This record gives sequence, structure tokens and C-alpha cells, in this order.
Amino acid sequence: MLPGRSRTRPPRVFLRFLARRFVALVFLGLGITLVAFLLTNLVPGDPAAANLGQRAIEDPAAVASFRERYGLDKSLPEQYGIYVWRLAHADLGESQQARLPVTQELGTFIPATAELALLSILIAVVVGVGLGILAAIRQNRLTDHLLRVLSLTGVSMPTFWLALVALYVFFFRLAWLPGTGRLDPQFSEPRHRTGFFTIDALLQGEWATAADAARHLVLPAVVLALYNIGLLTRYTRTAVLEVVNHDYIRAARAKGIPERRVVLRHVLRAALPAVITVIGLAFANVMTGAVLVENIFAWPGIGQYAYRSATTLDLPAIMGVSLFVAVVYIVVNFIVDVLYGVIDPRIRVA
Amino acid sequence: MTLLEVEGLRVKIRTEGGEVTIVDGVDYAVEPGQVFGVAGESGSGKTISVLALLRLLPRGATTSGRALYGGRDLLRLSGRALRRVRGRELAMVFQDPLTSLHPMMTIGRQLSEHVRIHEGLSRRAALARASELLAEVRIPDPKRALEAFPHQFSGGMRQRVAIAGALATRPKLLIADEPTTALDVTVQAGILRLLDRLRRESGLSVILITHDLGVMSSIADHVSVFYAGRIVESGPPPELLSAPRHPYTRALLDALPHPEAEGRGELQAIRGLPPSPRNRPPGCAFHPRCAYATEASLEQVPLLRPVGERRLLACHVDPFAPGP
Ligand SMILES: Nc1ncnc2c1ncn2[C@@H]1O[C@H](COP(=O)(O)OP(=O)(O)OP(=O)(O)O)[C@@H](O)[C@H]1O
Ligand SMILES: [Mg+2]
Repeated sequence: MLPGRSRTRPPRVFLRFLARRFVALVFLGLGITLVAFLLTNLVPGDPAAANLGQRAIEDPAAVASFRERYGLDKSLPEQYGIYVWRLAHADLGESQQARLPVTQELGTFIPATAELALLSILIAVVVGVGLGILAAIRQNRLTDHLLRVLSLTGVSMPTFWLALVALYVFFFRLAWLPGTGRLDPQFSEPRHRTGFFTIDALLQGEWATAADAARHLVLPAVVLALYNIGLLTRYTRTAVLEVVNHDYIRAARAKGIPERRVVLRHVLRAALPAVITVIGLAFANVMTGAVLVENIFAWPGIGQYAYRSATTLDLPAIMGVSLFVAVVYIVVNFIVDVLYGVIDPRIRVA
Repeated sequence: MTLLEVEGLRVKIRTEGGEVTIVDGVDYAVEPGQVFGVAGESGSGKTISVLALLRLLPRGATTSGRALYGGRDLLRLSGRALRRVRGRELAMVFQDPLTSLHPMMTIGRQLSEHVRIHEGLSRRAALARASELLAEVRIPDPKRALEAFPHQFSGGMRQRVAIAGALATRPKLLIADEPTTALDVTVQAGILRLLDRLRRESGLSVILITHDLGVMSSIADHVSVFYAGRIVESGPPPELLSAPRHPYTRALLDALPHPEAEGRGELQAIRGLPPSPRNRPPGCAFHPRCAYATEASLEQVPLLRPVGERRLLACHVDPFAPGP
């Protein structure tokens, strides 16, 4: 029989589930700051040497003032304490290269990456999940075999290679799409609201700018999506095939529910937890892939910023980037966890 | 008027080791308002033979023969016509209630979707209907049950929900594949009473699959005994169960724990195992396990022939024929 309380979709149980996830999130966040701090501080190399000019390095006073300015003269625990204190006040320090607050730099680079990454993930999800379903429906037929080859290509080709090929073909040879940057020089950046050029331009009613921004997005977003398309196609296919032989799918068919609806409502719903896990992974892949893709397509985003900071050992900037990446991971994980609970009622109670 | 007439139904499934014949020429007829029982050991092809009627066979299966329903051959329907028959005229309850409801959809949604698709009701009307259906199968507090998910119910309750779902559109024929096997005895009795009541109240016909002849005797009007993809004997349960003619039917009955059987000594398991469809013995498939087999049993497949009032038998030997 029904257990007394939890019979209807209980908001209480769901809230408790959310709260548990949230506490885990906070602890993870704290842990991450420590790891980010330690990792960036334990790397060998002298930031002063990397950032000061040759003349300044030979001047002990200049080195000392550099160290003092960035707190490098204090002990590690002290440095961490200061770091967390500032973090709590949204202060990530000043980058050693540009001498600008790291938060301000992140603020300009993050939207560029976010626009690229989100579009890329949207493409990957729509195409990957769609192809995965198609492959499962056509199991062991020609379409399935073709899709297997395609998805294998997607996951095994190195991203930088795909990026170069795409640039060569669509920009250099065919000249269908622009190769680098976010906008052609004749357009000026739309007034920042979201930081997404396409959306900002649309909000301003600058249609030509929006179209140009969109054209610039296509190549890097698609290249960045290819790996995830391959991944999602394969995992969706597996997840769907695992579900289709269940009695409850057969039962849905036995009820005369149209095949389309059976697949999209019943099969996909049951396959969704597995698919969402992979979408979570896709975010991680995009963060990694962005470093390469942004550098190749001269996309002024966090990937380029990370690359530049790493090569100059710009510690505050590196910490800022690590923190951002960590936050993305944590938030994505949190969302994935919560979605599991939303989709599968059995998880909420556990 | 016969409701469903199955003739020469054959199902083959392509597997890695080649094509195997799972159902090997089955004929039967189901009358309106009748409970038609299908009995037989595990693996004898009971489930496959009914899945064929609804065209729900696994990939790689091919069907031949005919299944006439309302002047149409179910085995040749497709697309819209098939969907209209499925779930509206023919409904099915599956073997395992724990797996036959979608674990991530509320009961209300699962029941109402069905009704909405076939009868075009509004969401609201469909939910009201779903709640009536739940009441009909004696689910306590149907309104709240609509909001619940399957895992919040016991196996017996889930089977009731599955039956409610199957009956949602008032089908003429319900196929119930071992609806009680996974349930304990008292729950079992409840489900059987429910089927019996529906049959009496609304003239529903039922194909009831079970390997439990005891269940059969309490509810079925006619029983067919399957062995290795064929019907070996059929007839009304009182006669069939009190005077079985086929050695296999007799062996099945002896294997049944019976209150009256206590005086008759130990339970008898049937010796040997049922053959797998891959290597079915020639002749009468039962002959390797049969104490009465003759030359003919080894060589020729015995055909199902009438032996007395409404009874059919497929045995060359007929060792239990009533004396002159
Ligand atoms: N997808 C399949 N591929 C190949 N063989 C199958 C498949 N499904 C079932 N079979 C075989 O078909 C035979 C009959 O199976 P079926 O499920 O109809 O038996 P059953 O009489 O319903 O048994 P049970 O009482 O265990 O439900 C079995 O030998 C089984 O191994
Ligand atoms: Mg079965």
C-alpha cells in the first residue's frame, strides 16, 4: 500500500532533496578554493621573473615591491586567508600583466566564452541526441552504421585539427563564413547588456550586427560541438536501446500510442538520466576545448585569457580562471543532480 | 460469433545461431465473454504467441498464419489500423507488474494519455476517467493515486493499475500474460476475482496465460495446453483437469501441489527439461520425456484432432482414452 506521507508528489521531500544537494555544493565550493589556491601557488616558477622586465629583475627593490604588491612575501596560509577574504568580497586581485582587477577581466572574457560554449552545447545536444535516437531506431541498419562511423570520427579527431580543417574549407577556400573574432571590423560592439553580441545587438535592434555576430559564432561553435556530438550520439543510442526492450515501452505500444510519441515521451524520458549525465560531461569538454578553439579562432574569451595567463605565470589571473572553471563544474554538477531528482521520482527519496 | 480466430500461427525469430521457430502452428478461437486459458511450462511460447497478435514481437521476428478479428487479419494490419486495434479493442496486461508501468510517469498521466489518444478527451476529463478506472479495480483513494508514481505501490496494486490501464478504453479482448505469477496468493485471488467480475459485468473476453493449472480451473472456460510452441491438448477445464488425455497435461497436473493430492503420495516433477526451440525433437516434441511414446511419436508430429465434446488432443498414443 501507499506509505502514508509520500504518496503525492511531495514538495517536502523535494525541498529536502534540494537542501542536501545544496549543502554538498557549499562544501565543494570551499574545497575548490583551497585546491585552486594550492595548485597555482605550488607550481614551480617565479612570477616576478615572468612578469618583470629584465632590468627590473636585477633591481632587488623592484622585485621586493612586486612581491609585496601581490602578497607574495607572506606565508602560504596567510596568503590563502587573504585570498578567501578577498574572494568573499568579490575581489580576485589584480592581474600582473594588465594591472586590471581580475574580476573586471573575467567580466569581459566570460560572456564571450559563454556565448560560444552555450551555443555549442545547444548544437551538440540537439544534433547528438537526435542522431542517437535515430541510430537506435535504425539499429544495425545502414543509418546506424554510418552514424557509428561519424560519431567515432567526432570523438577521435583532435579538436585543433578539426578547427584548422574547418577554417581552411569554410573560410579560406569557400569564404562562406568569417574565420576569426566576434565581429567584422566595420561593426562596432553592441552596447553590453548580456555580453552575448547576438542578443545584445538584437536588443538594440541592430540586425546587421546581430547577423554578423551569429556568422562569426558558427565555425567555432560547431567545431567545439563535434566531439560532444559524437559522444552524445553514442551514449544516447545506448541509453535508448537499453530502454526500448522494457515492458513499459511495450505496454505503451500495446495501448496504441503513436510510435513517435512512444519514442519521444516514453523512451526518451527513461533514457534521459543517462543522457543528462553526458550533457554534464559535455560542459567539461567545452571548457577544455575552448582553450584551443578560442586561440585558433581568435575568440576573445576565457580560453585565450587562460592561455595568456598561464604562459606569463600571472597568478591572480590563473586563480581567477581556475575558480571560474571550478564554479562552472560545480554548478553543472549541481544542476545535473537536481535534474535527476526532477526526472526520476525514485531518486528523491533515496 | 467468434471474437478471435487464430489459424496456423507461426513465429520465427532470427538469432545469432540462425532462425528458430518459437511458435509452431497454433490454432484456437476465443468466443465473446469467454476466458480462454493458455497453460504450459516456461519457454513453451505462450508470451510470444500473444505478442504476435498485437505485433509487439522483438526485432528479427517473422510471423505467419492468420488471426482474424472482426473480419480483419491482425497479423497484416499496419499503421493507423493497427494503432486503432491496439489498446482500443485488444489490450494487454504484462507478466511482471513491476516493469510494465513507466517508472518516471505518474499513474494519472499513464492512464489518461491512453484515454486521451483513443477518445480525444480533455486532460481533465481523462483524469476523471482514470480515477474512475482506479476505483473500478478497487484502488483505495484513486484521486491521490493519480499523483503517485508506480514505485509507491505494491506489486498487487501495480497489477491492478496495469489492468485499469488496459481496460481504460473498454476493449473487447484482454490479453493477460500471467497477471498473477509475480504476486502472492491472496493478491492473486483478488486479481482473478477482478477479471471474473469484469467478464461477467461487461462481457469482456480474456486470454489468460498462466502455467498454473489451479488458477485455470477456477476461472477459465476453455484451456489450451502449450508444449514447445504447439497446443497439445485443449478443452473445458472441468473435463480437461479431471480427465487429462495428453501425457504432458497429466504430468503438469501431477506436478501441481493439490490439497487432494496428499493421499496420492509425493509430488511428481516432470522428468527432463522442456526442449529449447533451437533443438526441438522430431515427431512429438514431448516424446523424450514421455513414458508412453511409440515409434509414431518419434517420427510424426501429432496433429490436434477432436476427441469428444469440445476437446482436442495431439497425441498418437492417447493412453488415457476412456475405456469402451
Ligand atoms: N527475443 C528473443 N529472441 C530469441 N528467442 C526468444 C526471444 N524471446 C523469447 N525467445 C524464446 O522463445 C521461447 C518462448 O518464450 P516465451 O516468452 O513465449 O515463453 P513463455 O511460454 O511465455 O514462458 P514463461 O512462462 O517463462 O513466460 C523461449 O524459448 C525463449 O527463449
Ligand atoms: Mg511468458
